[in-house]
Amino acid sequence: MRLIKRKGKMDEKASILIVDDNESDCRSLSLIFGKKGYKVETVGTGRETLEKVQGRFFNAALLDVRLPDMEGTELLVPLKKIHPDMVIIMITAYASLETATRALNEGASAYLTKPLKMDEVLATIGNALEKQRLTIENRRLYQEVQQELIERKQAEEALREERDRAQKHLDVVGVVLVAVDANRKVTLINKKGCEILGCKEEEIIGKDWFDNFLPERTKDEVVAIFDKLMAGKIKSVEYYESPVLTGTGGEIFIAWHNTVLTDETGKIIGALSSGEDITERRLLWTKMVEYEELNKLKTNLLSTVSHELRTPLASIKGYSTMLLDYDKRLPRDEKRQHLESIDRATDRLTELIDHLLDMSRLEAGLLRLDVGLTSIEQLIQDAVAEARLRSPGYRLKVKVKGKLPALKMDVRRIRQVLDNLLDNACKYSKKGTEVLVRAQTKAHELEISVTDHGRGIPAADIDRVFDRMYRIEQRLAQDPGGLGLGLALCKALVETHRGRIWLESTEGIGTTVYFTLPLVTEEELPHDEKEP
Amino acid sequence: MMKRNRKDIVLVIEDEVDVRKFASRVLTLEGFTVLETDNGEQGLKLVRKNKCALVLLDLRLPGRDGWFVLKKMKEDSALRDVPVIVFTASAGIPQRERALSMGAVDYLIKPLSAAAIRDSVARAVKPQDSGI
Repeated sequence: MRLIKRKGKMDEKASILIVDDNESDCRSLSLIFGKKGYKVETVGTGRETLEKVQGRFFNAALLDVRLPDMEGTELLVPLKKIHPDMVIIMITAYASLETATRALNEGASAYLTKPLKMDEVLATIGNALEKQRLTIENRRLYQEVQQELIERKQAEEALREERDRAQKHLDVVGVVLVAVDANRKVTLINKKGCEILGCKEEEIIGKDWFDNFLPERTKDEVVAIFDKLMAGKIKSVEYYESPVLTGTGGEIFIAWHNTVLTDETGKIIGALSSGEDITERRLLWTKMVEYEELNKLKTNLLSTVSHELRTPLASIKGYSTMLLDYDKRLPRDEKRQHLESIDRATDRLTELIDHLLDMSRLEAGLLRLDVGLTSIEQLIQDAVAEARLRSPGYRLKVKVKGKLPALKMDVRRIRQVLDNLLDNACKYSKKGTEVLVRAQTKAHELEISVTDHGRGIPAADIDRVFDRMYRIEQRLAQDPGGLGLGLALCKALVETHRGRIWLESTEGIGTTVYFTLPLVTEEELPHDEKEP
Repeated sequence: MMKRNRKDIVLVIEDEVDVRKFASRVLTLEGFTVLETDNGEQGLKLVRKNKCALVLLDLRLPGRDGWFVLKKMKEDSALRDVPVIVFTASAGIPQRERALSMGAVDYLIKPLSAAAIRDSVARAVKPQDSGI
């Protein structure tokens, strides 16, 4: 459309330079071209021609081969040099094939012989000008396209640079950046995010964030926050901590800041979250709290130990000095009683020291078990028989289900556990009540329990009774005394045997402490003649 | 040996039975009449009911502790002048200061010899009729 429209106008205005020393030829050509609407100028010599075209463009030149100052063909090269697009038509009075060929080779568009047939001249000029116009138009279009291409390329380059820079910013920050769309699919994750999650970018992009990266136990809670964001109920979430699953199957802790993402119309299209990996910080914090607690425990332990040691010492010191000072005034059987008190106090001291040493050995991992295959039933019977002597007045009973197998254990240590549980059962219940020891095999382990009908343990404290020193705080509430290491020691000893220990208790009704020991497997049984 | 008026009553408040029996026995051997209890409430009842010459008081007791007993006695005009000897297994200096500032006449740390009790009691209670 555009080309056709331009065609007429350009033809009318096309300029033609006639180079001929024959004035009558010049005139008649000027007349005809002028009639056709061309702008025409004439010159007579080669020199004039070169002057004329300096700084001016002619669409075409009609060039007489024979000029007064030079051969017309000599003008071809300089003219083409100045105006490469100029249409040059050679005119000659005599036809020479050689000259014609040379002229065409050096850039002439056509070659006409005199006498000129005007129709032919006009047709030739017209064709040549049309070709010229098309060439110029083509070149212009080509340049336009080229320009457009260059501009587009530059724009693309600029865009890529911008994106690279943004990506670099995303990558350089030390936090996880995740964008999630309204369908909960990940649309963006930065390098640090991939690193922390231990996944490749393509393993994350497009995945449902909540299904793939949140542990079940906290998923609902986080989804609820996300839903609130998507519903526009909140604009951002300042800070929350949540566990995140990593590609390697681990779990890390991230502190999140969330913002909603909107499109240009303000519609919420997703959420952008930045998250900091606080796994180590939390670990450190937990350790610090544990350490502080441990320190407090240690201080408590020291003051309690000091107190507990002083009490039996008070008996020993008191009665021994009394025996020394009042020897002659004391009746014989009273002296005996005092000596028995001293004896009991030394036993108590020994027990306290043993407990402390065991506990510290266990904590330092230095407790060695002297393991052997032993009948657990015999051990229970022995322990109960001796507990009856230690705690007279209680109804101590044993109930064994089926035949109990021999177990691999450190007899002295398991006996210590049983003694402790039996003594506790008696200590915390009234005389005359029943204390029942039960034992039975269950799956891969043997379960032993000690049940009393004593005062029980408050529900809030059940989880803590296996802690060291738990008893201290109970101390002022009619506690029969002791270091409070008993159950903690039992726990440690049972666990060293790869068993478990727990208890069930109801205040005012009683307590049952359970512990298990692993059964001996086929392979562990000593079969001297066993085939390999 | 000091002569004692059998009317001099000493109250021993101590929950550890062996320690209480020991202290009581030393005091009876020294000529006192001894009342015993293992807790603070009972101790306060006894000291109010009987005219005591001295109270031997353990600090760490089940229920109402020795601090409470000491405070109540010092608040009571009838009991204020009854000397109180604190004896405890807690060796802390702040506790000693506190007990003395609250009006205890002595602060004894377990373990104690018979002599330590004898001497402290002798300082606190002057014999009523000083024999010869």
